[in-house]
Amino acid sequence: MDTREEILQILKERGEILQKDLWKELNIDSSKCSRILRKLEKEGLIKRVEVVVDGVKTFKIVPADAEVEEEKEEELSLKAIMERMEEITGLPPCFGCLEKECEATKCLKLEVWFLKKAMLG
Amino acid sequence: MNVLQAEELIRELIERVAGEIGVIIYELRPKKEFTDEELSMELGIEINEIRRALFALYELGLAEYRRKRDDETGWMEYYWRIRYDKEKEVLRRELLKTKRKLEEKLEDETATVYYICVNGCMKVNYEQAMEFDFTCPKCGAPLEFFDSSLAIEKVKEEIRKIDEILSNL
Repeated sequence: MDTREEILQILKERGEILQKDLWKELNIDSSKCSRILRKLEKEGLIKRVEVVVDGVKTFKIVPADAEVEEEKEEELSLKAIMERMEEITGLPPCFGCLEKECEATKCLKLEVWFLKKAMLG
Repeated sequence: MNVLQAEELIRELIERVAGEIGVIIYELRPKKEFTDEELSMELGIEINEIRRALFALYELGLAEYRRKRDDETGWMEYYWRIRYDKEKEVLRRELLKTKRKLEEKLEDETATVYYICVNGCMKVNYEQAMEFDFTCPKCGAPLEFFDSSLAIEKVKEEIRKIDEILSNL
């Protein structure tokens, strides 16, 4: 099975996958992955939907016939993020964060950590 | 820092980045190079999950690989090695980065007056709050002055804690 087929197979099995996870799973580099995906999209075999995951833009890859709701840009809904990050305690989220270019004052995860400190100590 | 604390920190770090499988791989302490396939067989874990964890460890700087084409199948094989020798370096880097980010945050929070929606929809600075007439544009609830004093103290405490860990590392 070549990489293209492997991607289509994964989509068939799971329905969707994030581009940032896909290239790691396939053991190919990220630029090769996006090249193949662009091509597959052009051929009408898949759709790439821009999404924001933990404040970072990536693509969600879905089969071409999948119905996709327009995903809104992630907003600063502290409540929603806080619920999602229930388990984050201890050291701030920066510890182990692989985001290369970040601004501490714009990071939602850090904001949530900070707010928890403000409320819970 | 005692060995136990360093071990806990590295485990926490790996768990955050490479998940539980990352921790399992790391604690396996393989003596020699291995392929993702071998590891998958040995641990009985899906190869994709193994790969994902290995690449996460790689991004963290705790694993490296070399690629070699398999003569029989023609496929690229990845030979992995965990860099236990990098452990301290990686921990130090992550702690220093965390400290730097906390300092940035601290500076901003000290210098800016923030308002927060009582329902937690958003946090905005004074100018923005004024523009919104101190009413959350999302839910209509009041935007209230955000008292950051406790959090600021906690952040300072956190920085001190990180400094202490660093000095013992």
